[in-house]
Amino acid sequence: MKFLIVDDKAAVRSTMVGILARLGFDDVTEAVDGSDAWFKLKAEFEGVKPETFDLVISDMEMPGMSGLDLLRAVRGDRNLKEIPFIMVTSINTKETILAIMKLGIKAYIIKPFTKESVAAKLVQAGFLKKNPDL
Amino acid sequence: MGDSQDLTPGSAREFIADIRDDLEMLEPDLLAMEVLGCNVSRELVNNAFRAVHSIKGGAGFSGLTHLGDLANSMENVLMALREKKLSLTFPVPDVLLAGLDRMKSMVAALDSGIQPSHEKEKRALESLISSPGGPVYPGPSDPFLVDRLGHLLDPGGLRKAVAGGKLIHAVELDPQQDFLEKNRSVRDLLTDIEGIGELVFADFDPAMAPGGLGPGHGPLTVVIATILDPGFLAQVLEVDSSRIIPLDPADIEFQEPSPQVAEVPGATGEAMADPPSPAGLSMALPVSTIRVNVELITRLMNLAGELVLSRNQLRPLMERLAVQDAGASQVMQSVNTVTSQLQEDIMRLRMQPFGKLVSRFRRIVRDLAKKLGKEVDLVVEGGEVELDKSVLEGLANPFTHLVRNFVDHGIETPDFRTGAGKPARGTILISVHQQGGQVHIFIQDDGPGIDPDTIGAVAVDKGLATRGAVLSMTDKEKINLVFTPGFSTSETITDLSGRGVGMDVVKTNIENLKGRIGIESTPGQGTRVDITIPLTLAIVSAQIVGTGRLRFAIPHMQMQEVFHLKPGELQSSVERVGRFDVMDFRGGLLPVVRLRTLLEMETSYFDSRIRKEQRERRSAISGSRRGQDRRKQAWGGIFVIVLKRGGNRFGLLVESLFDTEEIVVTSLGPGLSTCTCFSGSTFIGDRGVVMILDALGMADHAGLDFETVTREEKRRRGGKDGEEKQRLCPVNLMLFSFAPDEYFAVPLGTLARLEAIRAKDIHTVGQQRSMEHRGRTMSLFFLDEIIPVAPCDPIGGQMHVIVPRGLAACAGIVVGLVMDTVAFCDSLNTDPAPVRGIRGTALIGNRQVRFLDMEQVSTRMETLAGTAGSMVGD
Repeated sequence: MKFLIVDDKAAVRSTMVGILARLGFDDVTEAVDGSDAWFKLKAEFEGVKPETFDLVISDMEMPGMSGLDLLRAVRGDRNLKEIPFIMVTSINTKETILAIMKLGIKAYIIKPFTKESVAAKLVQAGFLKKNPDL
Repeated sequence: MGDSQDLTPGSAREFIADIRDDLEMLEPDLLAMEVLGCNVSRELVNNAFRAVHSIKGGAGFSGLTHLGDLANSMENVLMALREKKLSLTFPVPDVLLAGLDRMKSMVAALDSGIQPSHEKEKRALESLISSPGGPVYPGPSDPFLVDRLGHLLDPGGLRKAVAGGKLIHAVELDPQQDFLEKNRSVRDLLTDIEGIGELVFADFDPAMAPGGLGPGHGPLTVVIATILDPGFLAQVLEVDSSRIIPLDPADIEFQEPSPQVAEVPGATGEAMADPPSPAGLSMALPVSTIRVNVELITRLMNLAGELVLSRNQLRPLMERLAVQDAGASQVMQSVNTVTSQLQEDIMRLRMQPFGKLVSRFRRIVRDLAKKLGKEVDLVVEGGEVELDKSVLEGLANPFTHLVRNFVDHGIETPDFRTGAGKPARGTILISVHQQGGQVHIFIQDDGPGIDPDTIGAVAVDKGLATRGAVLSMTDKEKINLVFTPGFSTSETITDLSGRGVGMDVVKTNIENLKGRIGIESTPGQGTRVDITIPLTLAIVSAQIVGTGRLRFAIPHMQMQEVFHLKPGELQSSVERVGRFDVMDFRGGLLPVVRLRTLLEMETSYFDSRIRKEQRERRSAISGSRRGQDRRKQAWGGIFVIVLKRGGNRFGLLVESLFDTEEIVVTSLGPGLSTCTCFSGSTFIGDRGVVMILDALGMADHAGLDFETVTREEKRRRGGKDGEEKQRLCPVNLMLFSFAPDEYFAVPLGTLARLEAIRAKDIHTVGQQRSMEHRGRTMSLFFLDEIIPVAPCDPIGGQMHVIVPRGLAACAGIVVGLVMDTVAFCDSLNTDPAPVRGIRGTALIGNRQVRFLDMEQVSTRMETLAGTAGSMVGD
C-alpha cells in the first residue's frame, strides 16, 4: 500500500507518518502542498511514469493549491479519477463539504487526529480491518 | 485530545514553534486588514484564516485545549469575514488583535505552567458573530431513539451502507426551529442529504410539501448514511450537532459485516490497477527551510571556533613540513580556506533579518497612535539586513522603548501638525544598513525635535547637572543629557513611554550589545537616534595584553588607543587626584589603573641595586620620590590602554602587549558571574584559556569616580572657556605619505590595524596582490587603486598596510611611510570639485594634507575585494 500524505506543516506530516507506521503502513510519500502532491501524482520525469498511490490523505487548508483544489484536479484526470482520497480538516463550510462530497472522498479525518481516530477512518475507508486492540 | 503518545517531545516542541511562527505571521495580516477595512482582499483574510487554522491544529496536537478553543473562536470570526457575513468595521480588528495578544500570552506562559484565562477574549469574539436570533435551541436528544428506531430500519440497507465505508447517524429535527425560522423546506433538507450520502429512513413522508409543516407538528427524525462525522453533518444540515446521534450498527440488531469489509481493498485495488506503477520517481521537491535547534548551532559555532584554534596550532608544524614537501603548503592553504569559510557560514546560520522585529513595532505604533489620537506611519528600510540572533533579541527591548518614545514625544497631534504646515500623518523611519562587520540603524521622526534648553532645564531641576555646567554645554551636549540616568521629561507618567525606564536604559542595553548610540535633533524638523552594533557577539577582535606571567584579552571595541611610556615616564606623568591616579592626556585628565593592582595580584619590581625581584609594598604609582624612585628602572616601559566606559575613558596599565586575535567568546558560568572585571573567556592556541577584560566592570571594580576627575579638569582649565570651542572634539589623525609630497590623513578611529610590510611580503597573482596575515590571505590594494592619486613611490622604500575598521572583506591598503599622529581641531577645506574618497584638505605643520573619506574608501575596497574574490573562485 502506497500512501501520499499532503500537508503544509512538517509536524503534522511527521505525526501522520508515525501513526501510519504504527498501523502497518510504511510506504508513505510526503508532499508539502497541493501542487507538490499533484506533481508527485502526475509528473513524468525523463520518461519515467509517476508512482501509483493507493490512497491520498490530504490536508484541506493549504497555501496555494488547497486540498479541495487537489481533489478537483485528481477527479478531473482520466488516470487518477478513481484514486481513494481522505480529507484531513477541522473546519469547513457547508459549501465546501458539499463540494468535496460531490467529488467523492473515502472519509474525513478531523484534526487534531490520534492513532485511534486515524485507524477508525482507515477502517471506514476499507484500508484496515477492524481490530479490537486499536 | 488524549492520546499524547502520538507525540514525541520533539514534535510537541515543533508544534509549539510552528504556533509561534503562525502567531508572528498573523499579526501583520490583522494590522493590514484593519487598514484596508472593507476593501480587504480575500487573499489577506485567507492568509489570516490559514494561520489561525494551523494554530488551532497545532494546539490540538500539543494538547493545549484552551489555546485551541480561543483559536477556534478567532477562526469562526475570520470565517464569517471570509464569507462576507461580517464586515471589517469597528470593533472587529480590535477584538481580533486582543484575541491574538491573548494567544501570544498563552504561548508565552507555557513554560510557567500557568494558563491565562481566555474567556474575555473568547466572549468578545463570539459576540461578533452571535446570531441575533437569540439563544440556540439546546435540542435534547431522545435517549431512547435507538430503541425506538432499531426495529424500523432495514438491516440490509444499513449493511450495504456500512460496507461502503459509511457512518450511520440519526438526526432529530424541530419543525419550528429547523425549518420555519430558517425558511427551509423539507425538500432543501433532502437535497442536502443527497449531496452527502443517502437517506436510510425518515419518519415522515419525504414527498411532504413544505406547507405541511406547522408549528404544531411534532419533531421529525431521519437516519442518514454518510462518511461525514456528526460535526460536519450538522453543518450541512444546518442543525445543532447535539441533535445528531451516531448509531453504532452493532446496536441496531444486525451483524458486523466483516466479509464485506474484507472485500473492499480488493475493489479499490482494481480501480487503482489502471495506471502503471514504475518505481523510482520519488523526486522530493526541496523544502527551502528547516528548523534547527539554536543550541545545536551554538555548539557548531563553538566547534568551528575550536577548529580555527587547532588550525592555528597546526600551522607551525605544517610550515616546517612544507620545507621538505611542497604539497604540505597546498594542504595547509585549503585547510585555511575551508576553516574560515566554515566558520563564516556557521555564523550566518544564526543570522535573522531585522524585519523580524518590525511587526512588533508596527503593532506598538498602531496601538499607541490610536490611544494618543495621533496618526503615524512606520516606514522601515533595510528590514532584510541580517543580524545575529542574540543581537536581534538584545535589540528588541531598547528598540521597543525607542519606538514608544518616538510615537509619544516625537509625533505631534494631527491638528498641531497641520498648524505647523506639516502633513497630518507623522512618519517614523527606521533604516538599517550593514557596513562591514557593523550594522547601522537609525530611527527618526518628523516631529517637533528636542529643545536643548528644555532638556538642560530639566536636568538642572532634577539635580543631574549644575546650572553652570549646563550653560557651558553645546546644544548637542544638552540633548545628550537624555541619556543621563533618572532623566525623563514627561511631566505626567503615561503608561506609554514613562515606564520608569529612560533613554539611559536604552543606552546601557545598546552598550551591552557592544554598540554605540547617539542622538541628534533639529527643532521643528525632528529627532534622529543612531545606533551602531556589531553583527555578531560571538567573535570579536581583541588585543592580548599581559601582566606578570598572565595574559588577558581586551575587545578592540572597548579600546580607544594604546600608547607606550618609556621607563620612568610613568612616574613623572602620573599624579594623584582624590583617590585616583591620573595623567595628562590630550588636554584632559585620564584616570589610570594598574591591571595588577586591580586584580589584586602580587606586584613586584626588579631592584637594580640588589639585582633581585622585590615585592612591591606601595600601591600608588605616583609619589613624592619622583625622579629618584628605585622602581623606575625596574618597571621598564609600560603600556597605557585607553578604554572607553560610556562617555568616559580611563587608562589601563599593562606591562606587555601581544598580538591582536580574533577570539571566540565563551561566557562565564553562573558561578563566576560576580567577577565584574571579566566579560568572558576564550581559548588561545599557545596560551590556553585567557580571560576577557571588561572596561565597564573594571571601572566599577576600581571605583573610578569620573565626576571628581571631570571637576578637576574643569578647575584646571578654568578661565579658558573662551578657547573651549576651539578645543572641542579634537580628532586624532594618522599622517602618512604615499609618494614624495603627497600626504594623507585618516582618523585613527576608523582604522582597525596598522602593519609594517616589506615589498617581498606582497604576493602578486595576475592583477591581484595579497599577503599572509595571521593565517589568512589578505587582499592588498595600493592607495592609487582606490582613489585617484599619483602612483606609489614610497619615501625610503618604507611601506605600511592599514586595515579600515568594520570591513567585511579581509583587505588592507598599502600606503607609504606612516609619519605621525596628531590631534586636529581645525576645519577642512573642501574642494569645490570633490574627488571620490577625499573629504578635503588642511594644512598640518607646513604640509598640505589630504583627508581620506574612509566610508567611501571602505565601500570601494569591498567592491574591489568582491570582484577579486569571484575571480579567484572562477
